[in-house]
Amino acid sequence: MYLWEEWFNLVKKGVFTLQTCKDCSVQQFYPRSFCVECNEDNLELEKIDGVGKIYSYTEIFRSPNPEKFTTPYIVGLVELNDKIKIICQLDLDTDDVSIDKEVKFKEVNNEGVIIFQ
Amino acid sequence: MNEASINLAVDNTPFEDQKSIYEIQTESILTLLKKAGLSTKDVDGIATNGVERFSSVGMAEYLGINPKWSESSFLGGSSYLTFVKRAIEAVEMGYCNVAIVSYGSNQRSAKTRKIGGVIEDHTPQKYFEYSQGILSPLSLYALVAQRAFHEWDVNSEDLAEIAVSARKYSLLNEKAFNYGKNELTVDDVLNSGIISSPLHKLDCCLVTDGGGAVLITNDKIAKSLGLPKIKVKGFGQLDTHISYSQMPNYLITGAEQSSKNALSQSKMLLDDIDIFQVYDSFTITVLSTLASIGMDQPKNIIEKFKTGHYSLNGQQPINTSGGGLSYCHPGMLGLLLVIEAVKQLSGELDNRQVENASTALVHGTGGVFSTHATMILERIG
Repeated sequence: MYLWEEWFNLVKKGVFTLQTCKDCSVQQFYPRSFCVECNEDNLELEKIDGVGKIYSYTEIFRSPNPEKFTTPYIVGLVELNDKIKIICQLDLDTDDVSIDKEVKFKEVNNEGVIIFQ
Repeated sequence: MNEASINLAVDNTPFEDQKSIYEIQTESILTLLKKAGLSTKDVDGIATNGVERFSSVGMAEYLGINPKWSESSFLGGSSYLTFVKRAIEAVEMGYCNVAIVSYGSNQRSAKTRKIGGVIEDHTPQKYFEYSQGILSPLSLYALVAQRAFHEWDVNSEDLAEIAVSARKYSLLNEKAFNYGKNELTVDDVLNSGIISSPLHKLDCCLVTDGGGAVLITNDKIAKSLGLPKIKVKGFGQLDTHISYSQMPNYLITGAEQSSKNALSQSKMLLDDIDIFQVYDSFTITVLSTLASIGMDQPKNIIEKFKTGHYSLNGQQPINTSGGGLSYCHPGMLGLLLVIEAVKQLSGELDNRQVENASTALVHGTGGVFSTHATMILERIG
């Protein structure tokens, strides 16, 4: 199984992970076959709390694929820690979205969309 | 070693007709060669991409030439600045004597542009980002804009000034898509409809057909043909990411380093530059790039747009063709930025000519602020 599928399978089950290097302790996202920091391959997907804050967001009014994504919806860039950000959708009302707001991983929906709220 | 320079540039904006990429490129190349006093038989080097999988070879075959040097790297919007630099090096090294850098796209008439973007299934971008419903690249630039509003205290009205400026220039350029239309107001931009907040339709570049070609030869040939010589005095490149989550800094981009390296190599300062051509895929691209190059603080940059500092008669004219926002955006704008700079430095324009322009800074941006190339040009004869 590809690394990315493994990550997605876990997150679909509600287990949010980041790949952690057992040699140098650095976390990385997206998962890779080696540690970008120390170049070793002693890596594990470790569960994290899935809490982050909104670094930026955009509300989308034209769908790239109307069968899959019904407008309007909000895409977020969520900062999980100093170094790691992730693109996801935000299950929040337009008036409730703001930069720096704390959000938490909720679920992956049937379309494979990672949802934070 | 030979000395090489850029000698001639032509743009091609066939907005009326539907043509193939090969035809659009051939039109520009034949116009260029005729103007220079050359024919396809003289061309022994070619750089192009976006034609087909074998882009340079495919285009060479259509032209009936067998190049000794070719280049087809894919770096998105900055590709063609890199191509021009590599063509100069190829001529200087003697790999070829007459190189053409050419681009053409029929994305508008062929309806190949998709608002969601185009991505291969096996990439991390597809797995982790396109799967989330982004419009690419639009939403990814929108995320930078939203963050800029937060950190730089700018707003939609401010960004709209950049579109207003682009429209003004394009009204002086009869080859521009928007030539003959009205001036824009800030309200026009704000009322054009939000597609991916905070960006409106008129914060986005055009989607057009178009292209152009640039001639690069050694200085002996240029002299014998009586062509101007425009030197690449400095060049800098930095590629920072392609997945959006991997972007090292969302406001100050790779343009900071690429422009620093280009200026340092040219032994020039920003104050020595007469005209600027910077990639304008979106209004935010211009603000972020000018801030990254170190032109001024973001708030001051907006103020300078409002007060005409960057206009034709201002101190630092920017995007004199009308740019991707209002002149032509055929998928990748990079070559058209170089072409406008070469035309300005050759003094061949009439109503949008910047008087006595002898130096130019050209900046190309590709992907989602992913690839950066800065070029400093100077006319020396």
